[in-house]
Formats: sequence, C-alpha cells, structure tokens
Amino acid sequence: MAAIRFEGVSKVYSDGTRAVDSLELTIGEGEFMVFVGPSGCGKTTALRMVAGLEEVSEGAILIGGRMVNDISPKHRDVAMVFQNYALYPHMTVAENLAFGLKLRKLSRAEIDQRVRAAAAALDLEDHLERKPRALSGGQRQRVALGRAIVREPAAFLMDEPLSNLDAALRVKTRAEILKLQKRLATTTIYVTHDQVEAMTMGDRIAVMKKGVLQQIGTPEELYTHPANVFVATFIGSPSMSVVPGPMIGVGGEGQLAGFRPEHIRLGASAAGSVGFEALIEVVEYLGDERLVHLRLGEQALVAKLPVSAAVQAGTRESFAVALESIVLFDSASGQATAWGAA
Amino acid sequence: MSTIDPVASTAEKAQHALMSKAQAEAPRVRARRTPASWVRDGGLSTLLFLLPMLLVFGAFSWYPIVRTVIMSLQHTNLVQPATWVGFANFSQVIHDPLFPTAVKNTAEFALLALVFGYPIPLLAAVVMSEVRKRRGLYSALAYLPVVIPPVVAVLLWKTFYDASPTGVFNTILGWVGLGPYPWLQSQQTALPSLVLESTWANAGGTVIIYLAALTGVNHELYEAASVDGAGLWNKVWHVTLPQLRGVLLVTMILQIIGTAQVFLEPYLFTSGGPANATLTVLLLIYNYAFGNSLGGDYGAATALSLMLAGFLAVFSLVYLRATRSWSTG
Amino acid sequence: MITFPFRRRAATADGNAQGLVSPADWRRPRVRFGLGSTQTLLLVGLIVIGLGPILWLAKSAITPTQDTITHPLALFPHGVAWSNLSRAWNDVEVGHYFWNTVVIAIGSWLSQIIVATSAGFALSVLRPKYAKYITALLLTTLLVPAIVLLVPLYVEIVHPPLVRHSFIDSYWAIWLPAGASAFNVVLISRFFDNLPREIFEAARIDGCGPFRLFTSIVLPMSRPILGVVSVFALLASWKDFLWPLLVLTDPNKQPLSVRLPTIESQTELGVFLAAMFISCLVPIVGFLIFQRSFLRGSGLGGAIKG
Repeated sequence: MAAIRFEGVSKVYSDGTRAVDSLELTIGEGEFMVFVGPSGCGKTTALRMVAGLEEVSEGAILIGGRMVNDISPKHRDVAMVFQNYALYPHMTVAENLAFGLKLRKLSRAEIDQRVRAAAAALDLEDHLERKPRALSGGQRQRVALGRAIVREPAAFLMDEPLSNLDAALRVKTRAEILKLQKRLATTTIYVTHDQVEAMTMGDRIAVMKKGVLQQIGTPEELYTHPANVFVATFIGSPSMSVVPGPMIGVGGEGQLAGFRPEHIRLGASAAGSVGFEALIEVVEYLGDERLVHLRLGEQALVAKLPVSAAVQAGTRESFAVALESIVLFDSASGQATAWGAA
Repeated sequence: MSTIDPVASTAEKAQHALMSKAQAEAPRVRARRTPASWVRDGGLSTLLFLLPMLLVFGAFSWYPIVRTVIMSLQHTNLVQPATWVGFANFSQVIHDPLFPTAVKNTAEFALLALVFGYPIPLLAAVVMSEVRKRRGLYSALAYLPVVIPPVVAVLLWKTFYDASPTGVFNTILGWVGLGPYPWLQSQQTALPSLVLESTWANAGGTVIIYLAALTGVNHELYEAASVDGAGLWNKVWHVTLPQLRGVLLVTMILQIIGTAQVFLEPYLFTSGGPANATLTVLLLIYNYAFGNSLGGDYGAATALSLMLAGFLAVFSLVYLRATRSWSTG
Repeated sequence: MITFPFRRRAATADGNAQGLVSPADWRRPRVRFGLGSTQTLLLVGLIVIGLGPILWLAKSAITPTQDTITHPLALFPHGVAWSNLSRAWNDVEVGHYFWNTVVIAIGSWLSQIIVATSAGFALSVLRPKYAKYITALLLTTLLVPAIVLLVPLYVEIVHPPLVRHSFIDSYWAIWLPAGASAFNVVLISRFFDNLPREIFEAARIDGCGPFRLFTSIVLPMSRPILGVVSVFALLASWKDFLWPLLVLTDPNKQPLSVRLPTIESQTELGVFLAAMFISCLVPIVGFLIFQRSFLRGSGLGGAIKG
C-alpha cells in the first residue's frame, strides 16, 4: 500500500471548465478516504486522474512518493472498481479475475492461488466458471471487487460501486467492503454521492463541490464542525436547517444560524437556548422518532422529535435550540464563523 | 467558540510540514509532447491499426476518385501518355446520339421500378406485420429472391421470357388465353420486362426494411388511436404512415439512386437492344470503356460517370431539401 | 436441422400488444376473415412469386432439355434427367468455377474483415484526435457511386503505378479492392461505439496495451456484428459480376457469375439450368441457416431487436 498525494491538481477542459480546481490533499497509507459531493463536483474526475484514465492539467499526483502524471495506468499499481462493474462479458468469472494477472505474467500457480483466495473471500467459489450475464447484480459487484483484490495493488480506487445495487444489498455490501479493506489494509479512495455511505465508511471524508475541495476531515469533524453552509447541509440527513440569525434571535445582520434536526426541542426556550414559533406542516412517524416539517416565515425546517412528542400538523408550537448546538455562518461567503453560539 | 482551519486537520498539517521540501522539488507542469511521448501514448499503434484501411482505401477508393476526374479531362491511350483535352470528352458524350436514348431509358426504368417496386413491398409489409404466427416464413419467402445471385436470376428470367409460345411465361399466359408476347424482343416490352425481373429480385429487401420499421412503431400510438375511435384505415393513415415517413423517404431515394445505375439487366438480357431500347447510362459507360465497337474511350466513360454522379448528387440534395419539412418527427 | 425462425417470432410478437389490429378487432369475425384471407393470399402469392421460379429451376435442372423446351411447366413427363447435374459438374466443370467462387469469396471476406475491424478499432476505441477527418473521408466515399471508380480502378490494375506488372487474372485484383468498403467500416465503428467504454478502461488498468485490447477484449465481444458483416461480404462476393468480368480474362480463373453467361450459348439448356441451380445452392442454404443475421442486418443497419 502507499500514500497518495494531490498537489495543486487541476483538470481543465478545452472550453475552460475546471472540473477539478487546485486540489490539495494527502491520503495516508492504509487509509479509507471518501470523496463525496453532488454530481459534477469533480470527485470522479479526481479519482480517474489517480487511475491514469484522465490527464492531469495542472499539478502533480504522487503515489508512494513517486510522481505518476505521465505514467500509464498499468504501471501505477492501482486497481479500480467501476460503477457498472465493467466485467469482460465473454470471460468466465475466473478468467475475469485472472486477466490482469496473466497480463503481468504471473505464474499459473500464483494466479490460481490468488484467484481462489479472492473467490473464497468474496463467496464466489461456486460461480467461477460462469459468465457475467448469468450472475446477479450483487454477484457481479463482488467479481468487480475480486478483480481489484487479486492484483494486490498499492491502492484501491472505487467509483460509486454500490449505486447500482438495491438498498438492502447496499447496506450489506458496504459492511463487507469495509471489513475487506481493514483486513487488507490497502489505501483506498472511495467515490460516492451518498453522504450516508461517506459517513459510515470513511476514515476521512473529502467534500467537494464544483471542482473545489470544501472540507476534509473525519466524519465527526465534518458533522460537528462543518466549514461552510454547503458541507453543513450536505452532511447529515435530514439536513441541517440554516436560517438568517435574527429570525431566531442569534447573531446579527449578515449572519446565518444552522442547527441540526435532533437539536430542536419542543417547548419554550430555557437558559442557554433560543426559542421561536413555527407552523407544523407535516408530521412523519418513523416508529422510533418523529420527523416534523416546520415552516418559519419563508424557511422550511425539519425537527427530529421523540415519538412521545405531542405534535399535530397545522398547529403553531414553540420550539427551542441550545446555543451551543448552533453554528454561525457568514451569509455572504457561506463560511462558518463559530461552532456554538454561546 | 472554537475555530478550525476548514481545509487541513492536524494530521494533515503535520504531513504538509514534513513534505514541504518534497513539494518544492516536485514539478508542477506537464511534460511537453515529444515524438517519444507520442509513441508512448499509443500514437504509433493507432496508426498501425489504421494502416490497412489507409492503404486499401488510398489505393482503391480515394486515388481512383481523383483519377476519374483527371481522366475525364484527358484523352487516354494506354500506349502513349495521356493528353489534356479540357471538356472535350463531356461535349462528345452530350452530342452522342445514344446519350439522350440512354438517359431516357434510364429514367423510364427508374420510374417504372418505382411504380412497381415501391408500393407493393409496403403493402406486403403492412399485411405481414399483422401476421401472428410464422411471420418468419413470410420474411424468408420474400427475401429469397434477393439471395439468388443476380446473374442466375437474370439468366433464369431470360428463359422465362422466351418469346415462343412454349416459353414459360407465354405458356402460363396461354392458359388464360393471353399472349404469346415478344417480351425481350420487342422495343415496347423489353424495358418493362427488365423492370419486372429487377423488382422480383430486389423487392424482398425493401419488404424487410419496411417490416422492421413497422414493428418498431410504438404500440401505444395504436392503442391511443383505438381509444380515440380510429378504425383500421384511419390508423394506417394517421399512425403508421406518419411514423414510417423517414423510412419511406430514405428507401425512395435509395431506390432511385440504385435503379439509375442499372447495368446487369440490360447487359445480360438484351445487351442494350433491341435497337437500343434498353440502353442505360451505365451500359453506355461500359460500352465506351470496354465495349467492342467503341471501346477504350476512357475519357468519355469517366466523363459520363462524373455526369451521372453529379446528377445524382444534385438530385439527392434537391430531394432532401424538398422533403426536409416532411420527414422530421 | 434447418428450421424457420417463425416459432421464435411468434414468441416475440407479443400476443397482447396491439398493432394495427387490436385483439378486440381480431375477435370480430369480419376482420378475422378479411385480414386472414388477405394474409393467406399474400402467403400464396409469396410462395408462387418468391419460391416459384426457384422451384422451377430445381425441377428443370433435372428435366431433360427437350421437355423443358416443349413443355416447360410439365412435371417430368419423360422421367428425371439426373445426368444434367453430373454433366454440369463434370463436362461444364461447374465444380471448378464453384471452387473459384469460393476462393474469391473467402479472400474478399478476409480482406474486408481485416480492414474494417482494424480501422473501426482505431477510430472507435483508440479515438485519435484526427479521427474526425478520416471519418469524413469515409463518409464521402460512401456517397460516391461505384461506377465512378470503375475505369481508373481497371487502369490501375492493368498498369499499377509502382509495379511493372499487370494484376489482370490475379485474384489480388479482386481481394484487395474488396476491402475498401466504407459501409463495413461505418457499421463496425458504430458497433464498437456502443461497447461500454468502462470495459476498455478496466482492461487498461489491468494492463492491456492496444493490441491485447483488440484481440482479447474487443474482437471476442464483436461476434454479432462480425457475423452480419461476414454474411453480407460473402453474399456480395458470390453475386459480384462486373468487376470479375473485367479483371479475370482467363476462363480457368473465373467465378460462376462470370462463367455462366459465357457458356449459355454453348450449353444444352437442361445442363445449363443444372449449372445455374448448383450455383444458387450456396446462397440459398447459407440464407436458410443464417436467416437471423441476414434479416437483422437488412433492417437498416441492424436496428432490429432480435
């Protein structure tokens, strides 16, 4: 495994668009790094530049301390798992797994051993002689993973590998990928647009928007100390509510106040918190909690309340938020200025 | 209140500090393109893959096209070098008394072929598209004549067209009291006879094309029409034909272009006779270049080829212009 | 066993989906009768018109010449003349010309496959920056009628620019120009365009260079289109007439299509018809076996689904 560095990396297209803009970050050896952001944010482009599938317009990418800008994919010692699996349709599962190893001229014995080990790890032993079209989506996905594992590369590059699976399978496979990565301790870059995946899987997360890195940190850092409004509302579901400060009596002109659904309490405000009145529009019963959609002036807020809360759609109620849970943002730049408005 | 640098966590900062030295040394600009890098990036292998095509097309497609233009402006004699004669070849062709005959015959052929060979495959395809079982049998039968080598088809029909009372067609028509007809031997019936065989040999291909287009029409359009109260004819007129517009227009122009270049039928059936009644433009070109009586006049042959190609090009453009408003949608 | 694909078509022609005639319409006896009888009429028509002449040829191939001349539509009034076939094969040497046709067809097919797959691969998969210029050149070639090429091509064969030796009577004069089919290149390029590019990227990461990519990945995935191109290439070669006529003057080298018209006048009718029948066999049998490829490829460039 190896560390991966982005040094001022940009991807500029001929019409001037900057798909990735001066990306600067380091991924440590064995780290599971997640690139997350809405579509078009440049996360996949950044990944593909590491793979060598896209040319670097500016800056340098280093794998294991070695600059790889001009090195072709096959010499970079990376393995990629594609969103649509990209399995070779005319080859059996075993042949799919062995292909990269054959090209690298490994011995038959070594190839066999690695293929069997990967098949065992991914529960594919019964399917080795089948062709991709005879496999289910989840099985194909595992073959795609297997192809990456047998290579024993310096890094795994995963491009939204779970997005074509149904929800239940996604949750299960998520855990399997993590277990596998921990066991193999291979540096991994994982791209996804799903912030739940990012939060549950990453050692660290890099949030991107329109080619620009917004914030990089552990899931907890991003959740409790977002750097700007975008990160604050992107991470966490339901999203953080961000309203003009004066509306709830916090901060001054030009300041926004953000607070998460679980920090809104039903009832009048006490010391150390601010209160407001809002109209309850919709109440969603989730079994273990209630999601309450509020309207405050022009703003739509969401609150997570305990099941016991007595709320009814169409009524106005008082709510309160602890000051220390509020994040203050500058409304012009969107940057966070204070975590905790005490 | 606490502040955290949004971009770098503590760990990141430490690594930054450690690597700042390496940073200063790592180059930030991309390598320039050199011949070596072009080869390395696969430029050479791409060219190698293109080589067969470039060689074959260059020698047998692009070069001949250029040569045709050149030869049409020259007097070529395989023994001495060619001489430039400007537009003399074109003038010679236009003033050849056989030229208007050939043009007229070709136009007549194309027109008759359109009358016979255009609507009939469409009707057949419409009926076939509604066949529930064994549609493949219909398709196979319709396409079978297309598969027969044209030389065999023509020679076979030549036997059918035997003008004596015991010729195949004359025998069949004799059963209902018609004929015997002179078929290929009369100036009036020769060309239509050729068109008949040509239609037989080619209609199957058109049927298959129409069938593919018909089965591609969205079922929901018919369902919506049914609900709206359309009967069979209305559905054909308001759903089928409009959906088929694109295909219909394309097959029409393709058929015209194809029949304008008819050669085999006049050559094998009648050699252009009787009395040049079946002389077509392509046959005239052949005669100019390789015929026994004229032969060897490559200048005239290439000139007439270019005239035909030019005419077809202009015709196609006019056709596309005229039908553009018709075919979108 | 040769089977028509009609069983398969009945399965895909969704019984419940509505074409021009809805299931409700079918139930009305007048519609069923009217449409049903039209279809039967069409089927009879197709059999008589499409199959009829070929059946006649088959029958006449083994009918004594006299019978064919005097009573062309009678069915073996004086018995069967199998000798027509053997005489066609031996005396008229149809077998020899048959073999010539096969050799020419295979060479032309190979030439077309090599040119079209390598060019299609370069343009569609490798995608160099200058690809669009080459594609434009290809498209202009498509638009030029073949007759325009005929004379210079002939002169080129007789007097090749660099070599001092004519290619008349050489099969290379047919094989090499056959490769210059812009239609094939376009067809294969479009097929390659539709292959998922991720597979190429996966192969690159796995370590494939362009040649390996071509042979191990792209070609194996291209069987359907190669089938269609091959079927049409072989058929076109079998039917080719004018070019072999011009270029092969030695009767020993000529294919069936060139030879048949020449021997017509010197051959007894029955034997001649037998020779014609033999030369039809390969296309007809080939068609019956590969119907799907034919019919799929004819539906305007393979737009038919299955």
